[in-house]
Amino acid sequence: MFGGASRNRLRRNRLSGNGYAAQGNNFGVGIEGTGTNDNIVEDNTVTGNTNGLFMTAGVQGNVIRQNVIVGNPPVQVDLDHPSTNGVDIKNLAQTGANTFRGNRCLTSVNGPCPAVKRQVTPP
Amino acid sequence: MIRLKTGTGLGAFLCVLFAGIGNVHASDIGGTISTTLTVTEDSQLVDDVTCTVPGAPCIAITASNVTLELNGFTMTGQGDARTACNGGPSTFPTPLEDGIDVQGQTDITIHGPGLIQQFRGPGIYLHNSSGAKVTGVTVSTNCFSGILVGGGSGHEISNNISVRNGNGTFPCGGI
Repeated sequence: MFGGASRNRLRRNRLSGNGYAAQGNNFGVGIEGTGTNDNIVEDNTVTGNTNGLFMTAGVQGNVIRQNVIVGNPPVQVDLDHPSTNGVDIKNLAQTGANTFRGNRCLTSVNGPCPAVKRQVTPP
Repeated sequence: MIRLKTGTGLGAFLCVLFAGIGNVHASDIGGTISTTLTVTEDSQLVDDVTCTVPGAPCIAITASNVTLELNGFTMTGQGDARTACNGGPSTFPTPLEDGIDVQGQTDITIHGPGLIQQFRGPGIYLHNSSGAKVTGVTVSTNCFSGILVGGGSGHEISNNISVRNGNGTFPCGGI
């Protein structure tokens, strides 16, 4: 999502194997650019992508909850392309600008990982 | 296009024929599409689709409140993320060579199951639209994001599978 996309809901999708190692900002789910705010990303399974979730600076009000975001990138990419520096959650937005709740993830930049316990949260 | 009740072979032939001329108000879609097919009413795939449209969308939904049923069929474009997209995009192309294009519309539904693959642009591109529902679709090996949302609001994108999309130049990926 980019260009001011807002108030969208991404739910129960399965995203895997997306992105080139040469493009370190490729992703399973992307929230990019000014005004791309107030979206809900929930109950998705995001594995084996260059990054799992990628959020650019400036996005805000997005809710990321109850997702399984693990194994991004796969270990063979880590081994063969170590400069990629991919993670499960790459959050370049200001800390606290978006909400993370009940996700399972292992690696992150500015994200609440590792978190291995899936929490039950109200909708 | 008039919904066809004839045999599969004749139906497929006529679909190819009509799809080839483009800009018709499609109902039943299948075969080869060589110019952008404009959809303004509820429509469905009745066969696999091969797209040979250069530098433009394969199917463009240009009216609101339209449902497109994929019915388990496959749409195939002219690029493949597995083979570097024929060299890959070096600049952001406009328009994108996407599979299904929705611009400036409300309440569009794209309903799977169905596979949208190997487009040089995104598999599905929702731009500056609102209230679209994309469900049950598989998008694979497209050269931008499998499902790309640019601007707009209020979309419900659920129960889709997005795999092996991307390119080496621009940030993109699954959704």
